[in-house]
Amino acid sequence: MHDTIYYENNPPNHNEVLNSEQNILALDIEDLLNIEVTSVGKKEQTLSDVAAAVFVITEDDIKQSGVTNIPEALRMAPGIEVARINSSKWAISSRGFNSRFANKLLVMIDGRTVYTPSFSGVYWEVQDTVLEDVERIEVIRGPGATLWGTNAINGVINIITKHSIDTLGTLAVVGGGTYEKAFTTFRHGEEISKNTFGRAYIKGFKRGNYELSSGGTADDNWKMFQGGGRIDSQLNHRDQFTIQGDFYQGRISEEMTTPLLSAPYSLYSSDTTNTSGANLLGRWQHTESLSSDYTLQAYYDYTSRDDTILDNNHHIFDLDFNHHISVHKHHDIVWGVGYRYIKGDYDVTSGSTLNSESEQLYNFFIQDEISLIDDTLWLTLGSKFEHNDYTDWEVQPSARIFWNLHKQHKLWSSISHAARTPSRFEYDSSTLVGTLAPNSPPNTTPYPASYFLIGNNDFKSEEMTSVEIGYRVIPTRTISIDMSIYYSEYDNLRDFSYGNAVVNNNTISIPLLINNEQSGYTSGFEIASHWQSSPQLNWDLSYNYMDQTINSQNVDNLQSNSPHQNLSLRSNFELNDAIEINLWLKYTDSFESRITSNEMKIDDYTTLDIRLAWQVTKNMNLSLVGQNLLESEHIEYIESGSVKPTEIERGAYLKLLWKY
Amino acid sequence: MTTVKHYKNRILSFMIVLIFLPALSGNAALRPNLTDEYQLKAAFTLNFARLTQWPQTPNKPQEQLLICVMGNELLKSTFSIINEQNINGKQSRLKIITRRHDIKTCHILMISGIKQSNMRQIFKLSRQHNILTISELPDISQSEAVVNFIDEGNKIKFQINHYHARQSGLKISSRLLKLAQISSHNYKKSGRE
Repeated sequence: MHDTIYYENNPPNHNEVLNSEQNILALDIEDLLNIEVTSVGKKEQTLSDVAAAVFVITEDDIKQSGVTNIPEALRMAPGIEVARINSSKWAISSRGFNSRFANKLLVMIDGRTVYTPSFSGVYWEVQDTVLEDVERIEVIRGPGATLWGTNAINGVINIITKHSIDTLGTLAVVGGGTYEKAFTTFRHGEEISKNTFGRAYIKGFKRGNYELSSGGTADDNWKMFQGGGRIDSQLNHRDQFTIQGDFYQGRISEEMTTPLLSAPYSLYSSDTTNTSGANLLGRWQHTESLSSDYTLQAYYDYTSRDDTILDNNHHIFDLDFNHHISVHKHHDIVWGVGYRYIKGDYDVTSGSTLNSESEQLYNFFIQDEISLIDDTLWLTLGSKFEHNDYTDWEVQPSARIFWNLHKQHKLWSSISHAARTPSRFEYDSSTLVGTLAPNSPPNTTPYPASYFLIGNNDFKSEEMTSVEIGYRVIPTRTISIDMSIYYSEYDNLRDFSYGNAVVNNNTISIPLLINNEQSGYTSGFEIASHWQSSPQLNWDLSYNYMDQTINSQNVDNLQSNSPHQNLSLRSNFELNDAIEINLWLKYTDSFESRITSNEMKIDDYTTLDIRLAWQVTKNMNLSLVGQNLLESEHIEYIESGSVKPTEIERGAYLKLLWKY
Repeated sequence: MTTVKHYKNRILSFMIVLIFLPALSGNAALRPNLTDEYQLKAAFTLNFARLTQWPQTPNKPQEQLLICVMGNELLKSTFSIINEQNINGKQSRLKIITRRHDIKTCHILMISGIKQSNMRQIFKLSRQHNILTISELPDISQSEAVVNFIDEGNKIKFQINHYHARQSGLKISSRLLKLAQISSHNYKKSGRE
């Protein structure tokens, strides 16, 4: 939604000579040089001019990395922790607090928020599109709440697909391999009429099983089918209209431990999660003049997921308007209003309760970029005001300053406050998390003891205040370096404590209460650099160091943990016009997974991916990709309870791509 | 249940929005047309075409002069005003480029809003195919294009890299060179490969 192009300009100046296009085309070049225009000073806000820790994963990066899905592509960004739990599950977060249900990261696909309202996190396995149609993935570390909204506490991931003018013609992909059993994509784009372009796609894949750490198959294979399309119409010079939509359906196998109230108290079983969804989005962009433009966007999103523990459906309707206007040359203002309606239907396993409910969110935001010294110093002040049904108003202000010290040296700094609002599950649910059999320590009673996670109607938003400093430098023509350091303080963090046990009908119920009694801080630094060592060879390095400290008052600290360090080094070598060789080395430090009361250590691991691509003809490309080549298997993350520790395996696939 | 009914109303209003949006935007077209920066740059580009000589090569269309644009959306839409104009007896045709390898037949390539490392490869390819490249970076020293637009006060000026023009096999009229902001020496320095 936040366009990367913006205009810094004068108020409209009605220059009479130029009122017709034909007049301007009739002028001599000498005359053109003397013409004053309404909007000189248009400046593309390139990455190097943003007062935030931003990293962009480009279309080329995605292609060269050989990734087959969005979660794996995010490993290219510094400061983003991507850990694969098993074949179909990922834990992804920015700047700490990683878990499968990480809730401090906002993820959007073409302006549509893809979080699941029941836990405020993202089911990554169902976030997909045609990777060849992705224009870029913008990754913003740190608070992005002012412009984007709640839950953008530690970062925003913005997946942007291409305008359909850029996807004309036919694309066909087929491939398969050891773990990537089979995949295929077909996309076709057409010029529908003058200035109206469209595309439609279908894709599908089948991925294999990994192995359990304890031996044997994890039985976690999955297959998905997805389709969709997009139409972009340039109605005239000033108006653009986009309509797009997708649908998907998938079957995900998994082995899960389901807690039961009575003997045998827990059941380890193979199960299939059926998941499906559909969305439709319309966006109208109007350019009033180069100093004023606005966007109106509406979407509807439906998701359905039926697994062993929870069967849920969500309907989300969202409407957003935003307006960008330049005032008096020195103020570049963006403001907007938004409304979201969410309806959740839940059906939980026996023993648990989660009521079906609807909720509404509305917000207003304003941001002013003030030019203090022309082309040298900008101050950006803004705040978002968002109302939700649980905690009423959340105010999320930020102040950012950008100093264009020199063509090759840029400095920025920011201070912001952000909030993570309660999710349905935290507010009013009762979830059976486990049962101890009679006379099995620590349960010494002759009755079964069941633990229930109990929602809290007084649960408050988790709050964070963060300070960041960034520096971008271009030391030589071939090297660029982007660095940031941050310190973030958290308050009202979620924790759990035991309530009083209740004995009833020969069973013991022990409530686990959800509270806001933790606080903590994270600090760290991130670096991303690009080096074009020769016209045929370039290198991308990203590294982050992160330290997370949680002050827990209760015994059971269920805040998850993240590794101190991540490193990614990629090289792209164009041997000649036809052959490309890509290497990708990744390192993740060891960490203690504290998601359950038992600490579990995840060892550090290093992986290497290699891609060899051959442009066979003008229209055909053949590539061979090897993934996780250094070790036959490694473990990246252990999710609490339900999913057994699973090994991520070495794999290879062959891919054939046609474009015509 | 009232919430269900409420939700149905939302769907209805969403559909209403979709139906009426094109109508709304149609009205906007009636507003007086302000001249913007890209219209002016398009007019400049037309003049560059008239004041440049391309070498005789078989890989370019002979009857037409192909003006290609690549990059940001506003650029692509605004440059349509210089489609089908007369350029020294040839007709101009605008072509929107999405893939690097499609530029070979272009006479002129205006490029903006593309990652620096990609731009470098495009400029390199352009020099091999006799293309007059145009960028809009803050200074020509940051570009490998033949021509670079810069903002100066409320006006638009342009810079020419004569070294890159020669490398691309282009003959640029002295009238154009005289108006360009920087003369033709000291280009070897910026003409990196």
